[in-house]
Amino acid sequence: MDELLQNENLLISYLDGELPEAQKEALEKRLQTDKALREQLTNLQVATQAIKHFGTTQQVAFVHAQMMQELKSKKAKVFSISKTVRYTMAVAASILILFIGARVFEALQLSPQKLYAESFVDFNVSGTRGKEATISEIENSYQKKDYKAVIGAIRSTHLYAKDSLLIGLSYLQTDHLDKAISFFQKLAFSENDFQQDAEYYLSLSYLKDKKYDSALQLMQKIAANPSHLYHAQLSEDVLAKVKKLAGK
Amino acid sequence: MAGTKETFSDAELISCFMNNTRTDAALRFMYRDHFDLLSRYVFNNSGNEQDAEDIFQEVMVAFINLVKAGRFRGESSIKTFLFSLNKNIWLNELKRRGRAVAREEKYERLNDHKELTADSIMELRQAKNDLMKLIDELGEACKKILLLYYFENRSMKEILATLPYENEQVVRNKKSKCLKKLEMNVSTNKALYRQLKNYLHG
Repeated sequence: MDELLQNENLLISYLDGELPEAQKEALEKRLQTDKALREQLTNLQVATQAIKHFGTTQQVAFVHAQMMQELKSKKAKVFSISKTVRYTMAVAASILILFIGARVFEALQLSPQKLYAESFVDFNVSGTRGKEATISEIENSYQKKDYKAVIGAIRSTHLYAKDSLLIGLSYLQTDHLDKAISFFQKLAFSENDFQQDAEYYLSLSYLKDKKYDSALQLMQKIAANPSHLYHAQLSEDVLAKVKKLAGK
Repeated sequence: MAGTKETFSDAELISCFMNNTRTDAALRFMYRDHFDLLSRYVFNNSGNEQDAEDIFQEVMVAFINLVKAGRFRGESSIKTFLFSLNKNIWLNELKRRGRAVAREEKYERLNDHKELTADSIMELRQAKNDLMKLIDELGEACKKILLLYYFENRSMKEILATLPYENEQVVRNKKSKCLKKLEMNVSTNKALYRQLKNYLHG
């Protein structure tokens, strides 16, 4: 019992970084062979993690209350404009549209690049690693944004669906749109774990390549499916913009 | 009223949470920058306003803990990472509520890895109440000492200045006693213990 208590005090000092170097080294040596001591250390680490987690939760709750006030008051301001002001603004906007409508519309036309940049959410390699415990070379290169290296992996004899997706993405990132489209099409039209990812990036490839009709068709399909992984990315606003680009 | 609002790069945000500096400002920036996008995802997938707020808080807590544990070092952009966390936590919440969508099966397969998954974060979310209760049971003095030392990284000298103890050694002894008590309490809650342990070894 005494030994347990002694060990515990020693481990707390170790955790707090307060052990002299010689004692620290001796303890680390013991930890390598003493399983019970290691477990005792883990228990203490978990306890400190508990208090840190509690602190973070409290801090977030505090900032959350502040920020909800700020963010909601912003929205409220928008809605609290009086009716008269709103009508006046509506009339002013109508007059503006009547006078310079067509020209302004032309001048403000959307660019596919801008819309692409607004809609693009990069594929999270580390977040969806699949069943492999280790990160592949292709994933590693993609994370480092070394798109050339990813594309270079095409020569591999066997490519997993995820590899093909990353190659397609690398082509998309480097503006080799035909090739990106070809990779995404293969994935999007076959049964695999990354089919929905491929559909989303295929629609963005079409958009970047100014194939608006194809982009729109695919985006509408994704938007119509609430359980699609990228459903939230394609808001009505985005679809309306693509429609405009498609001249519809 | 409309004072200047600080902006942070991804690297600056990570550094703030790692080093425990300007964390409130960093958090506020993350709310301004990401709350709309992330809550839209929850809205568009059967959630309501309260769900969106709850999930965003969970995302923030998980993100900060992962950064502090050295589990997120900027391999992807913070926006991408948060989007992914938000999506996974929300899908798990739907699943928990028994309103899982067909997509879920695929999601399960995609996330079948050893990392800290949304599943474990969600379990932690469920265990949040347990944690609150457990920490409250320590009593005010213990709670304060442990928070000051382990969460705010205050020195014994600083803690002594805020609490009515005779000297640093007394504070140190009290802190050790409190930590042991907490260790014992956490060890008895297996689910909570397992989830907290998940944050440790990256």
